[in-house]
Amino acid sequence: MIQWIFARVSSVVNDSGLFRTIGWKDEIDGVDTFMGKEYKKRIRLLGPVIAILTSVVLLNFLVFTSIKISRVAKEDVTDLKEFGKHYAFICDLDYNGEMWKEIFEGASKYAEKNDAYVEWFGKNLMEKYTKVDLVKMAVAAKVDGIILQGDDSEELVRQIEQAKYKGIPVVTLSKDCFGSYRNSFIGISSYNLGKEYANYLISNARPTDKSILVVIESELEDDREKLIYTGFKESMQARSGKVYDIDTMIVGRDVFEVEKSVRELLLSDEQLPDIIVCLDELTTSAFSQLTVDYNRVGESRIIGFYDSETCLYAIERKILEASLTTNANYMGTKSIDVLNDCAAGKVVSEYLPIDTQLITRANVKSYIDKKKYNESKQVQ
Amino acid sequence: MEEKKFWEIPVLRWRNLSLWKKLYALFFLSTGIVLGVNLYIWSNADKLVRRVDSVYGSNTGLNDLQEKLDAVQFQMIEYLNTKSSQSMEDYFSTAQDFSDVLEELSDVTCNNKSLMMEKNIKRIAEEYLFVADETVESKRTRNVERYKAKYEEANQLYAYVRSYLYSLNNEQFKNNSKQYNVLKNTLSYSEQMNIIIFICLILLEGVIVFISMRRITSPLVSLSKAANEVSNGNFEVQLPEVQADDEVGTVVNAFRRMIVSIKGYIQELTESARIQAQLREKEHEMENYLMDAKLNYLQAQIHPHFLFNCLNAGAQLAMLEDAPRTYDYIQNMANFFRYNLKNKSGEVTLREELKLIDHYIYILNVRFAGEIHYEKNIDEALIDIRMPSMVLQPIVENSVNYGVNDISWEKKIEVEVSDMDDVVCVCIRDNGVGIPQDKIEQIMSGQSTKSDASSSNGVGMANVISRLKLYYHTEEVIYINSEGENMGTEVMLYLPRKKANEEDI
Repeated sequence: MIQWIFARVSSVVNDSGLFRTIGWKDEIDGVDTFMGKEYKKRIRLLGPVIAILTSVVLLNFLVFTSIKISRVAKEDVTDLKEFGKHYAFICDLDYNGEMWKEIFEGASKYAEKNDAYVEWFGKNLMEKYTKVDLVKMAVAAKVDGIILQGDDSEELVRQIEQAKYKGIPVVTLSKDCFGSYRNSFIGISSYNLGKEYANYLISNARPTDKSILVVIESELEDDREKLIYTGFKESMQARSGKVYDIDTMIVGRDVFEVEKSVRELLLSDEQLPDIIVCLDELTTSAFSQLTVDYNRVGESRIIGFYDSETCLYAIERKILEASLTTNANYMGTKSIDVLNDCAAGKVVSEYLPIDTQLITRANVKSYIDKKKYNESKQVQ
Repeated sequence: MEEKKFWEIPVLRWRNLSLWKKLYALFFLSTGIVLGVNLYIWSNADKLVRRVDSVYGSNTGLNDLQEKLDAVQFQMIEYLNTKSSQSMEDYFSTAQDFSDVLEELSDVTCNNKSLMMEKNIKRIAEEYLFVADETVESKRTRNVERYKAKYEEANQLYAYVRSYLYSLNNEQFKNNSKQYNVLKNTLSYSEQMNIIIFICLILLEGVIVFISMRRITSPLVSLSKAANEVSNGNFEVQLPEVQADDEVGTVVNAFRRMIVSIKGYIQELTESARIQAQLREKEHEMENYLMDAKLNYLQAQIHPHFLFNCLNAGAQLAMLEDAPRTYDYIQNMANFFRYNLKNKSGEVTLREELKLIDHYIYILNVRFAGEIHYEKNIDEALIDIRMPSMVLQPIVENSVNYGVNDISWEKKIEVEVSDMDDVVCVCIRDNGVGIPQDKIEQIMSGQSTKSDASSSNGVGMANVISRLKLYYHTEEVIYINSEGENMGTEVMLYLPRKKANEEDI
């Protein structure tokens, strides 16, 4: 059977002229023969060549398969880096703004260089917890320090006290937690921020401007809001030499509440105020988007807060006139410095002020470029 | 001696292995390769299976942890409700179990999200256990206010831990699902690769076995072809080159030697047959000559037995008549004629030949009244050698008829037998007319002369010379010498002591 197959294959291959094509001699002593001496010589070499080639292919497959399987089978513990300290980063989880992400990234990168790990507390949990709960968890988890988005709630003050009791230093950011045992507050002076808004409007005053609407998160119970508003109002009255109709609009802290309030304002038949002042990132974003959606661009001079992407492009497209911002990244790094100093037993300042910057259409391009550069760096 | 290259040593060792060792080695090699690749594939599959096993192991561990946490919470509430010693015991027991399980959780600060969650779970759970202990303690001491506060705190921490466990479980489940998909794909990939690997393996095995078996069997195939050729009588067949010192090599070498031996034997046999044929031919020729001589002799004698009887009757008559000389004469004649009849084999001793000459000379002297003076100088020790019959008498007869017959002086015939190393020299000399040189040459060349035809017994010199040469296988057996006219003739016979064919045999 094998001989028959071999004979068939031989005849087919011989007829096809394959060996003629590849230079094999198929004519021996004038007789056309497939099994000539030349063929036998070549076939003697063909065996080892096939064996070597097959061995190489086989080894390649074996090694390749092994490497792939070993990679997959290995526990995913690559790039595991241990740190000496564990800091908890706690902010309002309902808040979707970019500022806190930037603060966290700044703090996180800086901490990594200083043998510390910053964990965004509660972000990985399925259930949404309040800042108070998260501080409780952080205290129970015996972290080495807490970076906290402050507010004036008594519960938070109590929890900061608990942390202090357990020897955990707390740094409040953006908003202070008055009356608490926090180690330090890092942020903009609220009163000064109000003054900055006023200064901008005074220096860029228009004769037609009469009414000003200050958009605030909540009733003027919050110290930050109150101080900004006070600073703004006082400065306007004292320095503008003109009487403005200054009003406030409460939009709430939740993103849906904010959008609802802004939508209601833009959809009302009433004339929009001449100037709208937004004191936080969320309301700025809401006005940037909704004025376009409801075709009310240009009816009011809108002054925003922070340098989020939405805000920057809104300035570029003349939706917003200007925005006051602060260096969030710097706030993050500064908070790590303070916590490290606390851990080292050093004395830290209770208040570390952060400067504000004004973004207008004149300098927005540089902010957009910087943003793009940072994003491309993150992608890399 | 040429130094071998490093790779030649194992090749030579392999070649010199015996056939069964080669086959064993081949078997173990192919089996070893298959086994190795199988083990390798099995090891890879095992790694994957273990990994698949471990994928959901973390979820199982967390579920176990949660169950233990729930048990602690349950026992704590149970104690708070019943305040029984059993429930307290159960509480401490479950708390210890939970604490033991907590020990296995990670407590390092690192950049891994899951490990950090584990760390938080561990720390918060420890805090929970601490607060739960305080709650139980407060209940035991009936400190209601503290017990209430601690109970609430414990509940809160319990909720945190549960929330963390739930979240980590979900997180890990997501990761594990991703990993499971990757593992599933890898398993499928691995199966496909295994098929390719097995195909390669079969090809490799096939090639190895093909090459090895071909190397082992090809000399045998060539050898069988060569054996066929040899069996057809072609001894010039090209045998396969033997590179190995194995059984096949031995067989090929033995076959080569066998062919050489057979060729030698055949050559020897051919030569021997040729010599024997030559001998037979010579013998046959000699017999012919002898028969010829006998025929001639017998032709000259009519009814020899009748003649002997007559001669014997004559001898008896002479004896009765008291005639001794007649008696002697007749007796000599009878002996002379009887001589040939006695020696049918054609081989006699020199003594017998000399005796015949004696009889012949006696008869001649009776006939020629004693004119012929016959002298003998014979070494008795030499005359027992064997020689062809009817050699000396024709020579003497020639000496009488053509040498001394017609001379006027005293007729002398002299026979001398002397020793000359390996030969016995028989010299028959006469003092007759002699023979011219050209005649001697003619006689020696074996040509018949007139004298042959007319010789009394019919046995001429040519016959004698031919028989001597055939008998002794040499040309140097007879010389005829004559100094000149009337100087007599000398015939010298050089009879080898051993016959030539005896030497051959």
